[in-house]
Amino acid sequence: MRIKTVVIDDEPDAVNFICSIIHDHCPELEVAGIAHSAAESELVIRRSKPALVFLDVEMPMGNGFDLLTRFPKKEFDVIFVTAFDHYAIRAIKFSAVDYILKPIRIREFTESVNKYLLTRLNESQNIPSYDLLLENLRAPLPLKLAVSAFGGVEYLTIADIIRIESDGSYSHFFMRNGRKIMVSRNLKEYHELLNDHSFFRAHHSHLINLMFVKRFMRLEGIIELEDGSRVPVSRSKKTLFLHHMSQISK
Amino acid sequence: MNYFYFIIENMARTGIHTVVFLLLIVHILFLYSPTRGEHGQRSSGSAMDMVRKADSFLVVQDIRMAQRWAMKAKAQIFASEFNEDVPTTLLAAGVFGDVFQPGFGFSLLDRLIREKVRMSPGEETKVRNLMAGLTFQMGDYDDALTMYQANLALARERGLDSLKILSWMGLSHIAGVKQERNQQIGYLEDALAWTMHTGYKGLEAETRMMTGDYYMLAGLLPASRESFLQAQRLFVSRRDSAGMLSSRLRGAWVAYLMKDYPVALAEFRNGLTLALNLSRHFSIANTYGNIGTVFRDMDQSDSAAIYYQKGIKEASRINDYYNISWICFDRYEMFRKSGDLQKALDSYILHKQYSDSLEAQQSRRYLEQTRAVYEEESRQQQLELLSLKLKQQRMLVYALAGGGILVIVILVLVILQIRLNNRRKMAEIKRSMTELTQRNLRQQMNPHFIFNILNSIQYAIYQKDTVTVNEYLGKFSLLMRKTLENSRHTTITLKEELDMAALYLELEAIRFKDKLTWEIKVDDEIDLLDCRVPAMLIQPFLENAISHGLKNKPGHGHVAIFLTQQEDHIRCVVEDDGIGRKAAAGIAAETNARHQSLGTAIIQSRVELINDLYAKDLKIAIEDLYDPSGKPCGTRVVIHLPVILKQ
Repeated sequence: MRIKTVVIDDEPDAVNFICSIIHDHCPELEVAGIAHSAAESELVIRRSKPALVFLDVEMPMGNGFDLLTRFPKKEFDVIFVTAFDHYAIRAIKFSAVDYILKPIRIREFTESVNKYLLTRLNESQNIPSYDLLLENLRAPLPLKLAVSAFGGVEYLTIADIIRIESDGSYSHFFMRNGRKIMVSRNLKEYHELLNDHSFFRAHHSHLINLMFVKRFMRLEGIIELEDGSRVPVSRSKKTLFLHHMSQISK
Repeated sequence: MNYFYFIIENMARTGIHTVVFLLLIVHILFLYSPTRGEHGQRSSGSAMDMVRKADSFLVVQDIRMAQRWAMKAKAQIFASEFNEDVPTTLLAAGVFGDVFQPGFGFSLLDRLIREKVRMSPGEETKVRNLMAGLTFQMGDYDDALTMYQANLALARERGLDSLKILSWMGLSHIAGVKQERNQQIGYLEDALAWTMHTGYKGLEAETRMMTGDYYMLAGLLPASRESFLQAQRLFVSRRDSAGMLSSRLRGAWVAYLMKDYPVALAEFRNGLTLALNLSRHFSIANTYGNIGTVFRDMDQSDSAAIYYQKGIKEASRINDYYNISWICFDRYEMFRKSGDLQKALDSYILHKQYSDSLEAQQSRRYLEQTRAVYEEESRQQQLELLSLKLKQQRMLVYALAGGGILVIVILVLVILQIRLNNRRKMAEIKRSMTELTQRNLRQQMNPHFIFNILNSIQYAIYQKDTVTVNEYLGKFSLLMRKTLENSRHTTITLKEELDMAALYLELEAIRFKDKLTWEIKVDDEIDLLDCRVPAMLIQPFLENAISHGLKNKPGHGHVAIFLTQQEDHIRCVVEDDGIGRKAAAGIAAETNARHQSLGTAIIQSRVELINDLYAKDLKIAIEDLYDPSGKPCGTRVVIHLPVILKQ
């Protein structure tokens, strides 16, 4: 039995495009319904009970996120489709939810669908609700970060992350309460994601939260953090580090 | 008045060269002072009366009485202001110099210079020469030297011949005091040459007197005698009895030194007659004494004794210790030689007594002089304080004036600053304009719009609908091109603006298929190429109409642009039949969207800036439309477009 989907976009061409791609490239999926506005889509979803929704972020009569608030109990997965929205995309990324950019590349689309199918197969994975997404969307800077740990998705309060250490394609999160979390994504991704927060890449394999810096041993080039851990600073980053620290202490 | 010359006659005996020279100078000082003793007719205050009285005593060589009156005058001058004219001041300064108060005399003259009192060249000559002379008399030889040299330079510069001669004479005196004999005679020769060149007989006579003195001291007695004779002739021709007296007596003394006793005696006797006529007490006493000595050396002791006695008597009348002293000494020598020891002893005692008195007198004078210098200094200090006070007052005036100027300068600066600010403000407006235009561009080139169009094109390609792809891409490129082009200008022609609007509407219509229709109507009168409008003025209203008014509306929507020519402006109407502003605002409030129409806000700032920049009244009014039943049925934007000419 194929997986039921609903496609929601206010532009007829966009809806038609996604339907064509699903029809031609995603044999596991079937389109159970389409909608051109948020109001319309609620009805369609309730009637056709899809497992997956392709949702345009920008829509008349309430945007895509508004639709989610109408389903507080998570009843379906969502892949966002968006033309352009800096804030929305960032919130989506922090919430570990998938999204596709317009104009749509067919390969990107199918990869996204395959990823969905994989998670769906892995029963132990707990499927994230959209509360985090909505929460992050409301704050000027996302407050929480969704990471896929081995036990499932974890929501980490960003202000509680002391440092992140690289371990090949994995990353170790060191939290304020002493917890250590291993995540199957590399440090570079988190560096990118947390660049607007108070994080600093002190070293190739160390991303530290500047809020937890205890002292800097200039001669040795070592930063000591509040939890007593010590992190080396690349020689080339010393000046930048001091600059960031002076900005923070202001 | 030349009585001091007589002192020189006894110089050999008393050996007080310096004192003699000092006294001698006093005479020189007054060479050019106004003829004294002739000022009685002027009444210029009691102080000057006293000065004149002192002067009259000086004329008869009664220095004791002269001093008494001069001191009274000085007290008077100290008590009140001294503001006499130049000749009077010169007279007073001269008198004070004669009574051994050179410092005080100097200060009187100094006032003339300080207050820049106007003087004739003759007066200036006298003032400057006397000041230098008084300085000399005070013992400040170096200062005096400087002053004489300054006078000489001034005289050369201004062609003041007499000042030139007098300066040489003064310099010669200083050289004499410093024992620089070559210089002394050099200056005298200069002075003499110039007096002969200019024909100043009086000055020539005085110079010759000085030359005679010089030769006498140098032991060149015949030359000295010749000089005195020449001086005497000149004085005679000028009917200068005082000069005649002194030159004659001086000549007589040289004759005596040359042991030409008969001539000396004859000359002394002539001189005595003259001195008696003129009542020159000092000269009389001195001459009696000298005649006595001539008789003594001619071994006529009795005659000598008689003249000595006469001299002593005359000298006693004016407390002239100097003459008494030396006459007694000469008499003592005479008696000792003749063996009349009792008389010799009496004379010696008398000599001793008077020379002591003389010394006392001189030291007293010295003391007085010192005191005078002190008084002068304190007076100068007072003057300095006073001038300081004046300076302070002047400073106050300057400060006030300076303050005024400062205020003006500040005002000017403030005005310039304001003008600069205005210019800066204009630049700022232009900059903001550009910035806002570009933000507006971004609004038009709204990423959503772009990527959604691209998505539609992508779909048409996927559908292999080549005609649509072609049409779509063509129009999209055209809009991009126009947008990029227009972004360079603040204003564009109305035609360009409408073309853009049309393109935008076309593309939106393609996106939303038959859901959107549009029209643009322009009055025939309007010349679209002549008329300029701010770039991207209309587009944001179109976007608002579509995304808020029409997209949220179930069913079909219509956007229209009407342009009509009014009296002085163009009326541009953008009208839609959407859900109306209220409903759209309600939806916007419900959603989380941040990116809701910044468009109109930007438009509002742009309108303000355009009005600032072009001093136009571009106005925008937004009306809500209602159908007959009172239901909202759309929004109308009315743009009041003033004509902006190409800049």
